[in-house]
Amino acid sequence: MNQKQVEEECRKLVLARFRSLNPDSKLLLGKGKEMTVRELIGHVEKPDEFGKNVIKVQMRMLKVLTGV
Amino acid sequence: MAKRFLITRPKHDIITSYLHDFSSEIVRIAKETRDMHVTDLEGKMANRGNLNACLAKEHPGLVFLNGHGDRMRVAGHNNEIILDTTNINLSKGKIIYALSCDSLEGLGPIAVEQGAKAYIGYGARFMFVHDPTRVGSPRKDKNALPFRRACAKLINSLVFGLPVSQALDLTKEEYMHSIRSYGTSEDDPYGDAPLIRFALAWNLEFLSMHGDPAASFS
Repeated sequence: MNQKQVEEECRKLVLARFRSLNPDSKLLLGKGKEMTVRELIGHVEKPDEFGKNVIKVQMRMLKVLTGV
Repeated sequence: MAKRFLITRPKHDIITSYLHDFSSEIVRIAKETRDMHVTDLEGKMANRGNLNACLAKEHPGLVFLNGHGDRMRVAGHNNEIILDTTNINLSKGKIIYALSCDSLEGLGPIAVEQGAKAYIGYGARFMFVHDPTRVGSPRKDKNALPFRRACAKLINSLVFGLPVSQALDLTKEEYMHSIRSYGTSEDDPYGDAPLIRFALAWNLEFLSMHGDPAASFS
């Protein structure tokens, strides 16, 4: 599997995890803004720069959870 | 000679109310600590004029800024910009910890260039998850608890003189501990745990510093 395929598999995994959540659950961000899970999924689907960071952070979180 | 600790903690919207609450315990402890002088710019006192005056006249060794921000600015009460490139020179000789969004990557290096010992903050948006039914009482909000713990770990470590690098390491350990341990049925009645773990991991990823890792509050 090449790097691009690995990245696509990571993106699919992150999407699957977020799609299992309540789409209306919210993160609080700076400047009084909120972001719903639905909006997070939109960033990952594209993925834009924010979405790429979301994927990176989710993969790191899985490593923390699994002790890798 | 007393160590001088300066904190700004506006409280004009939901996010700043939570940050205000996160910092309440360290303010209480610091005020009770011998040989420590605390300047608490709380609520509407968290304005640019007061910050400039305190930085220039009191020469605090540690400055803890809570509020909204972006790459080049940190805000106070009603989002007044209280620290930016035009007064960052006042950070000379000080350790700055900005609990706000984004400012680490823009303002952080400039602060260090201008003589700050260290600048600690987040290189992206600071995130947390709250329970909307607890907005009026953030202290009782279980969703916010792991974020409160991580923020407390960092400022407590700094206030009590640990080197910046060690304070960051302890805080990152706290974030990782919460990521691993959060989410039992007891503390997650609404199924928010996966989103909370994501926000914790986000903050873990983007918390960092510029300047001298060995700097400590003195």
